Amino acid sequence: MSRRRGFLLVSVLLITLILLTLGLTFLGKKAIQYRRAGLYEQAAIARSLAESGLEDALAKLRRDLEFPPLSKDQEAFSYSETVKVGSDRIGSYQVTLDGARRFPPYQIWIITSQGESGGDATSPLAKRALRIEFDVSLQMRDDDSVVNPYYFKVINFEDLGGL
Amino acid sequence: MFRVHEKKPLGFSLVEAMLAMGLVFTILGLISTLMREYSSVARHSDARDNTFDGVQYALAEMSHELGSAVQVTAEGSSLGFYRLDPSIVRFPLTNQGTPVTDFDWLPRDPQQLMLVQYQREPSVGSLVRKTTGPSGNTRQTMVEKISGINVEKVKSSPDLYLIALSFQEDKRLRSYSTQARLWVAQ
Repeated sequence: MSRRRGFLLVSVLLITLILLTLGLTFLGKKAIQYRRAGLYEQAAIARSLAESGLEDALAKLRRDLEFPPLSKDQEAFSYSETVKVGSDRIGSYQVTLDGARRFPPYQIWIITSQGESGGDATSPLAKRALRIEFDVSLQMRDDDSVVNPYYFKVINFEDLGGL
Repeated sequence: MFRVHEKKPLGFSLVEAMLAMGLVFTILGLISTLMREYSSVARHSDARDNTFDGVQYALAEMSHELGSAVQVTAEGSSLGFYRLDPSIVRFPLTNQGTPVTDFDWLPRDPQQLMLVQYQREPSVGSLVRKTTGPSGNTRQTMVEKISGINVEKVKSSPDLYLIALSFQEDKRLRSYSTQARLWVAQ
């Protein structure tokens, strides 16, 4: 009797093993796909947060003549904000306004915004940094008699990528 | 005195063994048939996923790079624009690290611009990114096996472009699109 049971046991185990292997392979592939989709989402959120930071800085520059509050010797000003939906933290952005070139001949502000996505501030899931140059020259630099058409506009933009 | 011994069967009868073997082979046959079908579908789906991933990547790259365009030169079945060459040193410094002040600085010096072109190569169906600029010329294949590219300005907005890429999936032509914002005043 024991020999008969053993034979059946081996057959059943073999088939179970094959099915289990197939199932695990399938699940593994699906898990990778889900993880990849999640990373895409986080990367998109990080970029959106970085864009929000730039828009926020531009709005402040255009509306507030005292912004950023820099002394004459000070070159940069930085601030950060956390973005939440209800009580859930979506991420944050950090904006740095580099005013080292706000005087002639450059007369530009270089604004860098870094967006970080994720609920935990200490371990962000994705990061993205964007940089713009904002023109504050009233006249054309090569001709003082001509008004600069790009005055108070973004004159250059660069995507610094994920960090 | 004679004793009659009834021998207990030690193995399977021929019928039992054949039945068990038949069952095992039937199940294995079914599994292998299903596996063959699944692997064929999976292979097809992987190829489609790869193209889809490539299309997503290309759309993201195009949309991000178009944001830095200082002048758009081509739209429609290709995308062309000028942007600043990122490898150029644009803020001259003296040895002491302080900016030179006695020069006319142009924020978008034509000598520092490079031409970027995204176009589909009809012979192989790949989307190619070509750059021509002061730091040299480059050519990069973004995604293979696409059917077309279409770039058009969104009429309701002064700074939005719609970029679409299409590829063949079985008998259907699938098209994916994204919007790109021009950050730089044109």
